[in-house]
Parts: sequence; C-alpha cells; structure tokens
Amino acid sequence: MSATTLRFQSSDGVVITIDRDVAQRSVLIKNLLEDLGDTTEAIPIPNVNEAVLRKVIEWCEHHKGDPPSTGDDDDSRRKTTDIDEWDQKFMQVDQEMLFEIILAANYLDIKGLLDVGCKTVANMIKGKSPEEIRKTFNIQNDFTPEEEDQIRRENEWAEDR
Amino acid sequence: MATAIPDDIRSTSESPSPSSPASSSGQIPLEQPPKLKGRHKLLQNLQRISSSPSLTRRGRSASTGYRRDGKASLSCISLSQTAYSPCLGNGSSSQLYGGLNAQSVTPGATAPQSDYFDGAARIRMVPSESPNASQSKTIPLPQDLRPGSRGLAISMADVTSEATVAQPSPKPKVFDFWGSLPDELKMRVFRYLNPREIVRCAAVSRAWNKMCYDGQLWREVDTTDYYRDIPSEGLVKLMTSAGPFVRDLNLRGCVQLKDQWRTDGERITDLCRNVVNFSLEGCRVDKSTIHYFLLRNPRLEYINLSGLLTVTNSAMKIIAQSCPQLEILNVSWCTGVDTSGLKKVVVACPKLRDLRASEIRGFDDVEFAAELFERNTLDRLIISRTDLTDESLRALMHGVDPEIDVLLDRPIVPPRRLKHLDIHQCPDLTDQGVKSLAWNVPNLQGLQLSHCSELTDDSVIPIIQTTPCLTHLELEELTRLSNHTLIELAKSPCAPRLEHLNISYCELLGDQGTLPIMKNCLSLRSVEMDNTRVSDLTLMEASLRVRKRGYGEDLPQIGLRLVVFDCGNVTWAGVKEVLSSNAFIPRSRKPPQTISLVAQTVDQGQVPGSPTMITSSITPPPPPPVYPNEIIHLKCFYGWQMTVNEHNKRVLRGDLAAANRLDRKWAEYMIATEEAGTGGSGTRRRRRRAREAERIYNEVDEETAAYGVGGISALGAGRRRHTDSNTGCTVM
Repeated sequence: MSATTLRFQSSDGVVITIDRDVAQRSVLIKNLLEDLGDTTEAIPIPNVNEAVLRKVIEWCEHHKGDPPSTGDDDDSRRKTTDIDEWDQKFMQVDQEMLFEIILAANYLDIKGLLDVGCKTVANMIKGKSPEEIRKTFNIQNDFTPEEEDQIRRENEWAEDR
Repeated sequence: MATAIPDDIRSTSESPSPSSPASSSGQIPLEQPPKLKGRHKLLQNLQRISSSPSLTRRGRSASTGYRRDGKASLSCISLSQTAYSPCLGNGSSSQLYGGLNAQSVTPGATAPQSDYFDGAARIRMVPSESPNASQSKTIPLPQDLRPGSRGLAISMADVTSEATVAQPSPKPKVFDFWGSLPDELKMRVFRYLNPREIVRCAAVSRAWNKMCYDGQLWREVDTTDYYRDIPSEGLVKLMTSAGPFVRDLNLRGCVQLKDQWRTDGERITDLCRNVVNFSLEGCRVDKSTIHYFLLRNPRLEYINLSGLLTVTNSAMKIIAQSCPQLEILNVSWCTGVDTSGLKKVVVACPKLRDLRASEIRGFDDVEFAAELFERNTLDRLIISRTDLTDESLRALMHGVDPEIDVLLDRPIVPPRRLKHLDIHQCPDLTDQGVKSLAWNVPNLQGLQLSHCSELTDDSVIPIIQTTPCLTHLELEELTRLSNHTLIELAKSPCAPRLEHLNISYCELLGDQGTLPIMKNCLSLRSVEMDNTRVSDLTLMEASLRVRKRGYGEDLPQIGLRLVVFDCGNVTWAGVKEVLSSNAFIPRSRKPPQTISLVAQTVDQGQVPGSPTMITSSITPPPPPPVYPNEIIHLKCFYGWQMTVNEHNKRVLRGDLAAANRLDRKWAEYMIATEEAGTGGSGTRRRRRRAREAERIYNEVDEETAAYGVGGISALGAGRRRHTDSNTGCTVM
C-alpha cells in the first residue's frame, strides 16, 4: 500500500506534506516515485523554494481533477491563449514569481501549469506595440534607426488594420 | 536588459558578492517580519542582530535616492566599509541610511520619487512600477512568497524591479524576466502567438528579431489569414527562415509569389526539404519550380495543386517517383493532367486514400478505373465534371469481367472502401453504370449524384438501400426522380443517420416523398428543396419533428435548415407555422408563475414578526426560462425572408415574447394585404386595415432596429412597452 501523502523539501529546507495524487500532477515526481517506490523520507526539490513550491501545490490541488494532458496538442495549443478565470487569478503575480512558477513547472514537468504560465506571458505580448513590449520586459531597443525603418516597412502587413 | 545593467550599481555591487549570503539572509527579516514563522523567524532575528547589512537592506531603494545628495552617505560609508570592500561606497552606505530612515518614519514621498528618478536614469525602467516598489514594505510580492532559493536574488526582489535589475547575482534570472527565460521556454511562449503577432514582435530588439524568425516557430506556414496582405518579400523571408522546419506549407492563393518563384524558387526549395502538407492552390507557379519542389520533398503526404495550369502529367510522374508517402492528392481543374498521369501516381503511391480530380479528362479509360479498383485504397474520390462513363464506373466498382453470383445476379467482389464519392455532373452516366454502386460501397457516407440528368429511381433506390452509413446525399436536379426514391430512402437503413439531403430542382418530388423523410430521418440537419412540389404540410411535419427534439434551459440552436425557394405550394401560412413552432413552449414546460407567491406566504408564516422588507427580498428568483433545444432555419421566398431572419434572431437570443409579437404582426399584415387584394364591397376598408397593419408591422421593425444597434435604450424600451400593451403581451 502506498502512502497517501508525501513529504517534499524545498530548496530552502522547508518540508511540505502533500497528497500523493496531487503531487503526481508532476511528471517528474510521478516518475521519481515509480523508480523510488514508497518513501517516507522528505524528497528534496533542489530547484524550487518554499514560496514557489506552495504556489505550485496550490495549482495542482485546484487542478487535481483535470484529465491527464494528451500528448502532443501542438496545433490546438497554438491557437488559443484563453486562460480560465481561476488560473488568471492564480497568475496575478509579479514577473519574478511568474518566472519562478514557469521554471518550476518546467522542472517538475507539470504541463498544464507550464502552459498556463506561457499563455500568461504570451498575453503580456499580445496586442502590444514593440515599444510597449520593451517596457513590459525591460528590453533595450538595439536597432539602428535604419534597421528600425526597414523592419517597419517589412512588417507593415502584420499591423492591425 | 543586459545592456542596461552595466552601470555604477552593478560595478559596486559586484565586488561585494562574497558578502551576498549575509545580505540576502539579512534582508528577509526586516522586510516583513510578521509573515515568518518558527525556526525561520528565529533565524532571521538572529541574522538581524548579527549582520548590519540586514539593517541597511531595509530601506535600500529609498536610500538610493539619497545617494545623490551625498550627505548621509559619507558618514555611513565608514560603518559599512568595515564589513565590506571599500568600493561598496555609496551603495551600501545609502542602504544603511535608508534603513535608519525607514525606522524613523520619515520615508515620506521624497524617497520614492527620488528613487524613481534614480532608477529611470540608470536603467530603463517601467516608470509606473518603481515608485510603488520602492516602498519596500508594501510590495506586491509578499516576503514569504519571495523566491528564497535565489539567494541574493531575494534581497533585491523584495522591491523594485530596478533594484533587482541593478543587482548582479549568481542567478541573474530573476531580475531580467525575459533575458533569463531559457530559450526553449521563450519558444513555448511564442508558439501561442499567431503569425502576425510574431512578426510584430520582430521589431522589439535584435534578439527578438532573431527569435521570431527561428524556424522552430514556423513549422506551419499557413497563409490563410494573411495571404492577401503579406508582400512576396515577407513571404519569402518566412519560408526561408522556416527552412527545414516547415512541415505544413499552405500558400493557397498567394499569387504575389509569381515572380519570386522564378527568382527564389530554387533557394526556397533547397531550404524547405521536409514539407509534408503542401498547398499551392490557385498560385501562379512555373512548371520547373513545381517540379523541383516535388522532387526535393520526399515526405509529402498531402499535395494540393488545384487550379494550376502549369501542372501536367510530367508533374504526376515526378510525384509518382519521389513522393511515396502521398495520401491526399488534389489536382482538380489542372487541365494539363489526365488519367494517364494519375495512373502513375495511383500505381506508385500505395498510401493514396484521397483523390480529387474534378474536371480532369480521361476517366472514360476503363484501364485506369480497373487500376483504382485493384488498389482499393481510396476512401474519398472526387471526379465530378469528368467524362466518366458507365463502363468505367462499373470497372471502378467491380473491375472488369467480375465473377457473377448466379442466385443474386451480383458480381462477387470485395467491397469498396469508399466513404465519399462525388460524381456529380458527369453527363455520360446513366442508370446502367450508377447501379453498380449498389452493394459495393457499404461504407459510403457521402454521395454526390447531382446533375446526372439521366438517373432515375432505378439506380438511386438500390444504392440507398445498400448504404447503411450514408449521411449526406445530394440528388440535385435529377428531374426524373420520383417520390418513390424518397419513400424508399425513408425506409432504408441509412434513414436514422441521414443528416443532409438535397433534392432541389427534382421537380417531380413533393409532400408524398418528403413527409416520410421528415418522419423517419430524425437526424436531419439540412434539407434543400428548392423548386419542388413540397407544401406547407412538409414544413409542419418538420416543425413537429424539431419540436420533439426537446426543451431545455439553454438558448436554442439551429437544428434544421430548410431551403424552400420557389416552391409554389409553400405559402406564408406554412412559413408562419415554422416561426410559431420555433418560439413555441409547451404548456407543461412553461415556468410556473405562482412560485414566488407561495414562497412569500411561507416566509410570512415562518417568521411572523419579521418586517415585510425581508419577506419580499426573500422571494426566490424566477425559475430559469425554458427554450426549445433546436429550431428550424428557413430559406424561403425573398419577400418573407427578412421577417424569418428577424424572427430567428429573436428566438436565438431567447426573446421568445418578442418573436411571438413579430409573428403575430406579420400574420396580421399578411392577412390584411390578402384581403386588400380581393375585390368586392368593403375594399376600401380592407385597404385601410392593410395600411394600418403595415404601419404597426413597420413600427415593430423600427423598434428592433433601435435595440439592435444601440442596445436597450430607454426610448426603445418605452416603445416596446407601448407595443406590448397593444398586443396584450407580457414582457419583462
């Protein structure tokens, strides 16, 4: 019989107890458990700190009833950046936290969360002018005026009409 | 980002990196002590005591402002310098000052402002963020959420992004969101953008430009949404940057490439070598480019060359030689191709399952048909408008000289795999050939026999009796078809599945055939019956069947589309019947009106002394409205169509009362005009009544225009109420 809860140790040494099926939203942990068998030891998650880990767990708990993601849905994914309301709220964090969540989701291999994170970033880009994008991500415009001019001409077709 | 960093701050802070652990840990407690617990708290308190940086840390950002006036910093420097390397200079000293400042409750407005100024000067900051952020105690990201794992990162994190930006750390990721995102995740983000958005992003910076034209993002170049707008240079740039990554290349209608193909075609082809799905439909491409492209893309599974005059049998030969994976080939309207070219493809491409070759010559070739028969790989064959003959169709169905079952008088052949067959407008076909479909295409789902004017019941009936999967049947303009076909269709095994039926211009067909269809084919989604003899009876039967699809709380949807243009026997009364039926709710499903009353009395009984205010507020919300699940959309005589459309619109948005109102007005108007048309005594009175009815009808129309455009304006609502009272209708 496998234990119903698991313990994880964040990078900053905090031990968190999680339901087993919640934790298994993470493919990394799922595979780990398959290899490891049962364990009562706290499993170290070296790349994720407590705050982020708690946030990730919050997401997994809310989404524990979701059907498992189906392999490669590249096409459908590409088309929409709609995010459901709960996830939108969940993602209302500053850029650092968003960044940490995306990295953690990537590291822990939680596809749903990674998708939501990337969609959130995509939505930060969508509908913005290049200048606004630069501001959002603090990017320097390193084009020469000539280059900029040329790109503007090239991109004319892509502007909103 | 990176370029923005190398300022004074960076240089200063880089040097103290050895001390970073201390500062990071120290910063935590001062920031938000109350949020920490237990061991952590203790730890922090310890650190707070032990390390001065923690103190300084606190007001850091605010203090940076003070650096400018340089008063406080000097004195403090010495303090901090003891702990750190001298070059910390202004940075740390100001921090200390800031910390003190914060404690003495004088941060004031000046601090954030100066801070903002500071930040803006040093690094390109988002101005709106910095002022707030500088007040370290009330930042959006609470202390306990801070990424503690990032060591130094934290210290900066607690505030201003500019602070974060400026601070160098072993893991700079946190500070420069975009710059530190791994490339594969950047790509992931970009994949959520559509082509226009990606191209727009290319103007952000050089790094972005490079990324936006990364082939990984262009595995699919589908110009459907922008083929009209994109200039040929842009398209060539997309294709060349996509290069070997591009799998799906849809250039349908990209005529602007005409000259580019000649000049850059070879270059493009050399780069795009892994195309799987390829459409050039309607382009203008020269022969050699096409040949070169087909030759260099051995993975092609889908080729659409529809409408290209430069495609000839030699292109077919190249496909046969170099595209063994081919599954779908569309060469419709390629007048340079005939079946001798197609034959090579059919022989060489064992996976071919979908062949579309409308308007191609040579289908009278029995040998080609026999080849297709032998292969039996096709599940879709579209050979409309060809010179297909009875003989070649028979060869297609059961080969040449098949063994005949003596008892059944049927050829003994394996069944065809075909699911869709389109042989409309093949003028040479007669019953003799088409009959061969019967028994041989048991999987058929879609059959197009329109405009084969020779066909009669003799061939159509045996087919529909032996195609149990049939869902789409097109029999347009088979003028010799009689009602027997429809009666048989209603009895056939496919009747419950049939979704689409077209019998327009079958002038012998009428209610006798369509009534059983409406009764038995309950899955029907569309029936086209222009120019037939159907009458109101069919419409009424259809309405009844659609009503039987049930009622629910969701808004209705169109469940059946009927087309009855030019049907002499369809009158406005039949059309009205359909409209009324669309808005009809059976008595049993009507929301009961009495519930609120009951609830009120109960409330009063239970809480005798309570104020009436409360009881009224407790009244339960009205039960959800009930709508038909599905309704009929009707295309009819153009003079009535506007009313029908408006009525549909109202029903679809759930406003059944308004729909009924329109229905009633229209009926009054129609009756009045009919009366006015008749002669005899009282003509003038009838005319007047007709005008009156017309006026009211128009008024309703105006009203709908009013709230169709401007939403529910007060005026519109008022007018609506007015008309309501006229009709005694209760709305809202």
